[in-house]
Amino acid sequence: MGTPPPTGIKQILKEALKTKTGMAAVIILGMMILMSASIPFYSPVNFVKRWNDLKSWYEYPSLAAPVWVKWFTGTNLPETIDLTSKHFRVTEEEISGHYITTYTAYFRYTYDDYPSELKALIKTDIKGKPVRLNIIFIRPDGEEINLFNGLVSSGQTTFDISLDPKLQKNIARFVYEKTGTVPEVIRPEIILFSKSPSKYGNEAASSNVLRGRYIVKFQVLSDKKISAEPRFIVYGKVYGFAGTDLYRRDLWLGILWGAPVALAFGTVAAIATALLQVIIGAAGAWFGPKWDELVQRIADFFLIIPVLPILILISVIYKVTIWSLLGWVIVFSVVGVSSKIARSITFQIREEQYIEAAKTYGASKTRMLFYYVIPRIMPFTFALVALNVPTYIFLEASLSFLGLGDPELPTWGRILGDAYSAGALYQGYWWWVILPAFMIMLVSLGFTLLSYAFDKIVNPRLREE
Amino acid sequence: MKKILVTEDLVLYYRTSRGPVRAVDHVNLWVEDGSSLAVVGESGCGKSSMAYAILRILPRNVHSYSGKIIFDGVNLMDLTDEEMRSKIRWRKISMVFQGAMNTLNPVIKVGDQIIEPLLIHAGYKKEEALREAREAVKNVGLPEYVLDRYPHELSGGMKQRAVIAMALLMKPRLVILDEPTSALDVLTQANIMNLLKDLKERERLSYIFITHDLALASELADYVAVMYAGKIAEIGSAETIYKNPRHPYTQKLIGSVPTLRSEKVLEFIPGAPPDLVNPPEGCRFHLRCPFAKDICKRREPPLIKVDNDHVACWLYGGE
Repeated sequence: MGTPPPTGIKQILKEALKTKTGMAAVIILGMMILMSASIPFYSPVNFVKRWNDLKSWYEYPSLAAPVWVKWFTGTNLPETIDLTSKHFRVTEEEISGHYITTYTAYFRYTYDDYPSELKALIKTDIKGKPVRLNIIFIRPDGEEINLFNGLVSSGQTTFDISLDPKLQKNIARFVYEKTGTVPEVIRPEIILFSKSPSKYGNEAASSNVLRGRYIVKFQVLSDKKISAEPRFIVYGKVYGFAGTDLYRRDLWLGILWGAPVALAFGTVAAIATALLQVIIGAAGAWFGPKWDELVQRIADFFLIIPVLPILILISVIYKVTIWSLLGWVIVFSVVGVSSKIARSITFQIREEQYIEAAKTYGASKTRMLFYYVIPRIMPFTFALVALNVPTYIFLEASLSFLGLGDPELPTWGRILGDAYSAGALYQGYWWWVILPAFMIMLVSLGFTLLSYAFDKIVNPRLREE
Repeated sequence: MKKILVTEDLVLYYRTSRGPVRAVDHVNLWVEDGSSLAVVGESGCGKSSMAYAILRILPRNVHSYSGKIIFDGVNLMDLTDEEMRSKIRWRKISMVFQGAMNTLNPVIKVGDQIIEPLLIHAGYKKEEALREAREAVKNVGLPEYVLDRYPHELSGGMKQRAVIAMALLMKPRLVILDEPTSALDVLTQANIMNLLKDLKERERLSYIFITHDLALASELADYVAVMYAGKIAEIGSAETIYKNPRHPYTQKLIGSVPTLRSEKVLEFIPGAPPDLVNPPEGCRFHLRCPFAKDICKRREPPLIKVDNDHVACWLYGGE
């Protein structure tokens, strides 16, 4: 007689770790759990709200690739340069009752490509009439471009240099003065960072990038002393470990947040459905043919009905959250494949001598079911649970992809859905698609390997001797 | 001596597609207080069914179940299932099953398994019950650590002892031993038999000892009941059954027991036991009986008292 199949949960886990697949599974899933655990250190408390508040992501570049792309392409792609008020040096002059406050900051630009976007911001707290603001951009070759000259009122003012036609006019004037022609399309982020005036065009020849020390000046002219917080952002083309999406959101934070959501949804759904299915299936077989028939026919019914279309229907009609979705998933899987497995094992156990003995010493039917029968089925359900987790993760991802999942939580499926609706695949924003898809695949792989490892242990025919 | 258990016309038929199987057919037997009755017979003669009938552990396909089972002056047939479960089983009558290997649940520790009757019937807390269980396993000569082991970690003899400890846990009056040693080697068998004898003396137990092994039965039995095709063929003291068997079937059965290094030619009984769905008319043994008379083919013999024993055979009187 070989070693008997292990019985306790601890024993099964210990054995699972001994196999190579089990080890790989534990490493992958451990990584996922570490990712989930690291969230409190990475992201703010109200992250979910922030993820959906698109205005709060203005500091991030839009559609930036991951930083590590640099290592593969060999070009030094620009990262975002954010000049906040603490980078600006302040000088004040008084000329005949007027105050001129100048905020000066410089930055070094050494990248091989143009920035993706430029933005200037100023926050003032002036009472009364507006003040005059002058924004001057000085290039390393000494060229000075007056970006803006006009009035600003109190509060925060944003100058969208790349998009604002008023500012673009100033830049067009600069190009006209240099070359005598006006470009058809004005792209300030290229013009301001181009080397030779003859090529102040739109072609993004990276050899034409002007490297060196750039200076940004904010001059505020007013009749009394004021304080202002200027800011100048040179958006890069790469950001973070996972890049950003069209809405400037840091995808790494979204992917991190997707991990606990996917793990929780998948494992809770798989464990709950497996437990319910096993208990109901075993109870049906245990309490007699009528119950058995009832349970099995309902199981057949649930096996036949297509769950995904029904869930789609439900989420179209009702507003679902991840938890109500979980509830619906469990409702549609109270009986199923595991019930059938539990039933067949119960029939086998029912004829065992120890059940006969238990009957003799007066154990009630319910006690026998929960104390003798179900613990014997449990090891078999381990593998099933592990195998079912990816199924539920896929289900949730499918619904989120279709925009029918939880409208608040960032999930991998939802990131993929956003990418799809923004046409990420046709536009070449591969990181937006590949990374969340890779995570879904990785977590599925982890659980599948785990189920293989369990299967080898609880299925005597597959046991490695 | 007082009779602790008497069955009168005990009947247990099973329902099958071919018709009722007469596994226990109007069986009358009795067990005297503090003695042991061995029930012997071929495989399939209804020995185990009789044990189950006494404890009322019935399968789904019961055709009929009737008669009287008088235990300590109470007819068990008058009790409800619930009374049977809570008052009789294990408290008064317990059972050691065939093949102790399979009587212990492989996923439950031996200790947790042994205390089950105490938890269920006596409402013990787990710690108290385990204390009792420690006593119980010591009583059957097992070390205490077996309580923390799983069944597969124990040898066959140890498992058998654990099962016996479990049967004795609630201090029953009567223990039904259903082939308690059939899967064990002879030395372990002897060991268990000695233990059973010892326990009987110490705890003043009565046994119903079911076996097909006549030699083994002689070790323990004060009385012997020989069953054939669902009926009692002969019941009497071990002394007479072994020395001076009256029923032809018993004679043949005793003759078939091998003895060590003697020149005896082993006997066998020609033919096969009758089909219990369609038993022959008259005496069920008449087709194989060398002494079959005319009446044997027509009428069933009643239990006839001969001296102090009873035998169901027309050779000993009647009409």
